[in-house]
Amino acid sequence: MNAGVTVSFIVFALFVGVFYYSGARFKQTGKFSARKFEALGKMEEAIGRATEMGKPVHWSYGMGAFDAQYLAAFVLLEYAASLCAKYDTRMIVSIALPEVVPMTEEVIRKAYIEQGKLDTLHTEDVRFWGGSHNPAMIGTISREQVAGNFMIGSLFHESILSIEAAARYNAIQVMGTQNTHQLPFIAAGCDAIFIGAEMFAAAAQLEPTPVRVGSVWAADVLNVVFVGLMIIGALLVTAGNTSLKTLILK
Amino acid sequence: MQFVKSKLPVVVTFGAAFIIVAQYYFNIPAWKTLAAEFLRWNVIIAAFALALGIGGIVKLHWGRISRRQPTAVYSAATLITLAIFLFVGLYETTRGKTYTWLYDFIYNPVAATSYATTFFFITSAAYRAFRIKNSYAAVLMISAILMMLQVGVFSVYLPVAPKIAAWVWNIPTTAGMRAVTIGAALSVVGNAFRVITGLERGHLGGGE
Repeated sequence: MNAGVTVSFIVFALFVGVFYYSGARFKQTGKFSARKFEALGKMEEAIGRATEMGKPVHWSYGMGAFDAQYLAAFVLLEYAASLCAKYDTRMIVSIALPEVVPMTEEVIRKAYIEQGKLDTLHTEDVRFWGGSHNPAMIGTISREQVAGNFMIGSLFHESILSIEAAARYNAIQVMGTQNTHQLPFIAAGCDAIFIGAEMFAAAAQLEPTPVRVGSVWAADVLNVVFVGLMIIGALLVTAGNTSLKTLILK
Repeated sequence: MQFVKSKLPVVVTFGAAFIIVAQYYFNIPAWKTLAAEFLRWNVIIAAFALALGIGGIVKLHWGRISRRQPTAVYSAATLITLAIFLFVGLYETTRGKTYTWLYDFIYNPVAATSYATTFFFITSAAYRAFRIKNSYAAVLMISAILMMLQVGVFSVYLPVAPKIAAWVWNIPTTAGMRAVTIGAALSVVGNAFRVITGLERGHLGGGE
């Protein structure tokens, strides 16, 4: 048995409980408020500017392995694709992982169908680059002289390459990741960013449904619980009492 | 068809995820073996997806060639290279003499050269990142200076510098990173739960 499994299970059960309770509560009241994410506004601004300039926008998930960040990115991709469909602006997607290609195509197709613009969809703009993602991405940004550059997902050093390539064309740049080693660089180089959990919370703000609101609420409640436990734990350990630490590791 | 496209993936996802999650909490050897097997299947599924990716590449570049775009010559080079590697790989496997030669003496030098050019991008991007154009960049710049002061000649003439750098690294940086990590981890749990239970189906081209 792994250390901390019991507490981990309790936390998971608590999460599921709060998730369903908050979702049901939202269904009844319809009340949900979250602070406005600047990055969402910047995405719209970038697509609007691209429309005025007659240039495309670029999207990438980075080079990281497939994880939950991709799932958050799909929601934001759908939002960006909807705006692109609405304003008849091309969106070029650079992809490193083959398994992401069909999912990306489905997400974009859904956005175009919802806007009633399926006939304007350029399927060849979803581009699988595999291991050549970075040079291909730089080349695409440079050749197409994109007006907006979005990169949401598990980002590594390729985010800096993307920022630099798009900055040469004064593109509005929005990025988001939970990889803490890249956050300082994208914060310094981009116009707006999603920091970690914001990527997931943005989905609830875009379309507040019981499932998404429940998820955000559950994460927030547990955040408060964890902060409380950290403060209590720090005080107890300072006083020489390790009982909470022992309990958590059970 | 609708079942295959929208319901079957949810059923398969739930079944596989249930076993993988459950084997973490309950010590049942059969479930552990099954979970390990599912994780191995992931590689096979990715290989199928690779075929889709290759299809996309062929479609893109063939379109450029047939429209006689100015970059058609590069597209032709891409498709010819793809065909050569595919044919040789299928004929003598990826461990064959010709394939290894192609990989070691054609692909590797080209890839290394391509990767090396990113040096210029990184240098220029670093300059751009460290330029104080907003408050975030100012914090990054100050932190970077503090971290740089702890090494080399600075640490000799300014003995307090390593202590300041250690404090920046151990207290505000670690606290910030952990806050982001914990917050994101909880959101990941929520997102994964929604996908596993089929409550979120955006990646399958559907909503909730």
